[in-house]
Amino acid sequence: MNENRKRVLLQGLFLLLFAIMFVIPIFFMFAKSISFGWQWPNLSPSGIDIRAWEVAFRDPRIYQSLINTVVIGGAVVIFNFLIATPAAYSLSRYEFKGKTMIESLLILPILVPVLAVAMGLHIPMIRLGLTDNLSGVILIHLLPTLPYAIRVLKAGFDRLNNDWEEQGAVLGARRATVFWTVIIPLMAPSIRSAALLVFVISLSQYVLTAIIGGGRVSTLPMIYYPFFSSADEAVIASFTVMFALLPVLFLILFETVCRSYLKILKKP
Amino acid sequence: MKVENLAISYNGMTVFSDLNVELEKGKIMSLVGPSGCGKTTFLRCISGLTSPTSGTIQLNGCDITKTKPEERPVVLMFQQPLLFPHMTILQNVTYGLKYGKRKLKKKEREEKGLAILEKVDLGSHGERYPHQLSGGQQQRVALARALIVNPDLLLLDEPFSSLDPSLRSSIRLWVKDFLKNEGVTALFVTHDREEAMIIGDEIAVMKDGSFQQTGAPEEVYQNPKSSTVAEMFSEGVHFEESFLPANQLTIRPVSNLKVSDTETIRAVIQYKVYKYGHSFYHLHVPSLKQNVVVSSSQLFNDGDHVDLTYLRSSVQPFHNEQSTIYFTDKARQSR
Ligand SMILES: Nc1ncnc2c1ncn2[C@@H]1O[C@H](COP(=O)(O)OP(=O)(O)OP(=O)(O)O)[C@@H](O)[C@H]1O
Ligand SMILES: [Mg+2]
Repeated sequence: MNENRKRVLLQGLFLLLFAIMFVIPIFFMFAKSISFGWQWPNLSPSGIDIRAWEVAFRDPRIYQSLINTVVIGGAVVIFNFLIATPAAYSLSRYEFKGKTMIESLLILPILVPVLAVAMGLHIPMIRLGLTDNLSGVILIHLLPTLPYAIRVLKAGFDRLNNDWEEQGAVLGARRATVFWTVIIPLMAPSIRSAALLVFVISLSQYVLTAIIGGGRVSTLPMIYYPFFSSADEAVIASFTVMFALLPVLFLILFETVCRSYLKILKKP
Repeated sequence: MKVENLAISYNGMTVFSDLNVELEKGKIMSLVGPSGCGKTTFLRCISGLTSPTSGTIQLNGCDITKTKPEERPVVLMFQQPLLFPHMTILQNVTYGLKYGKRKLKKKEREEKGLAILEKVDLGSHGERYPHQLSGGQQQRVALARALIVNPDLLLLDEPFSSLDPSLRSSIRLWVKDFLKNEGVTALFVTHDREEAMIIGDEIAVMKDGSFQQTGAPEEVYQNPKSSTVAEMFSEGVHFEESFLPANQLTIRPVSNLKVSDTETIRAVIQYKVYKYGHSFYHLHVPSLKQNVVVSSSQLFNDGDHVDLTYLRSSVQPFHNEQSTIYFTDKARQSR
């Protein structure tokens, strides 16, 4: 009884905090983006107006940059999983020489300014033809995202100890089979956090995209930041809402993919 | 199953160096031994999860020492049930038939799964998830999941140690009957002497990386071959070279009276328990630094100093397989 009440209280507190930190700002941003003449000290706007959204969507670059942002974000997430899953799994399960060194190397991109690294990589990437195009930008986005993805997934693998693999093996299933049918489903929470984290990091890259994309690859931040100088608060608000909505949409899509994977597993 | 000269060491630290044991098809062997003596390691070697440093493991005449765990016809049941939490009970039970060596069609799988769930008394729980089951039920599902693949050898590593005592005593009888009915060959690790005797056709006592003694439960219980075995598996007191079963001991008030053919050792009553309609005294023998439980109908108080008397002829020297003098009429009369 007491335990139960404590839990309800905690949940309530958490929801409140969540509302204060995320929901309310977004809501105000949205309100701001569609309101007209809403100035201090008025408690409510004097009218509704979708002018800001019109301005935002009148800009022809916005569609291309939205598509770019989503394509880059999606590709970065996919490449992250392709690289981070085996890396995190090996770091968690196997002992090998230089393991501690690799682990400390993984924090480096978090400590060293990514900008410095990108500057260094710029010339080689020009030689390889990886500038001014999408693939170069996708590649350079791996730099600030991979360390996080590997750490999150490694923590997930560490949490699931080796017992599950062994239990599967003694029942006669091959290691790869156990991995796909038991380990991956049990890793769902870590996979979800890693995906969202990577997507959001990629979404908010400005400088890296600017350097490697050379201004040819435009993403949402590239047209969003310049708007700050315009001082048109309603337009900035509409961009902000778009920004906040993208991860939510991504999460919904990702969740659907996860669900269907689990459904397929249950099929014969 | 036959194990020869099995040895294993971790980073140069030897766990066991020369294990030899044989188990007939259809028999159950209980493996007892103190914590850390290598019981789990031994089972892991047989199931293939750990590779031995040297030695061979044979099953039905085939050498399986180098076979991968998933290819061996051996299933290991861990201390925890380890049911896959994202699968229903039925999916858990049929896992080995879906992804294992012998893959069956969905219909066949589910039929077999339901049949075996019926056998473990969980026929109506197939659609539930593991967290909706009690500890004992989960352990039964784990057993069903292990047995459904029809292993030639089932290894059980203290499967009931996480259960509460009453559940434990009911499930072990049930498991014994179940394994016997199915004719499963099994190796069963436990800390509990009673459990070992209930489940095993044979007992193997392990200590310091080797098998001290193997044999039928009553044989090991009544005829320990060494003081280690006596301490771990038998009831009574043991001297350097001999063993004295507890049923040969009689508690008497302290006296200096000497009776011919009998010997006396001093002991202190620690406490008394009632069991099976009798009173049992837990005694400490200071001179041997041992504890022993002796039944007596006489009344003593906790902390009393008493004499334990016994017939000199009832002492069994170790390494003597022919000493079958207990329960002779003479020994009975003397009590
Ligand atoms: N992976 C390992 N690395 C190093 N040493 C190990 C490893 N696994 C086990 N050991 C050592 O091997 C010995 C035997 O361990 P094991 O787990 O087989 O004992 P056990 O008889 O099962 O004990 P318990 O009854 O407590 O379960 C122990 O001394 C332990 O320290
Ligand atoms: Mg153990």
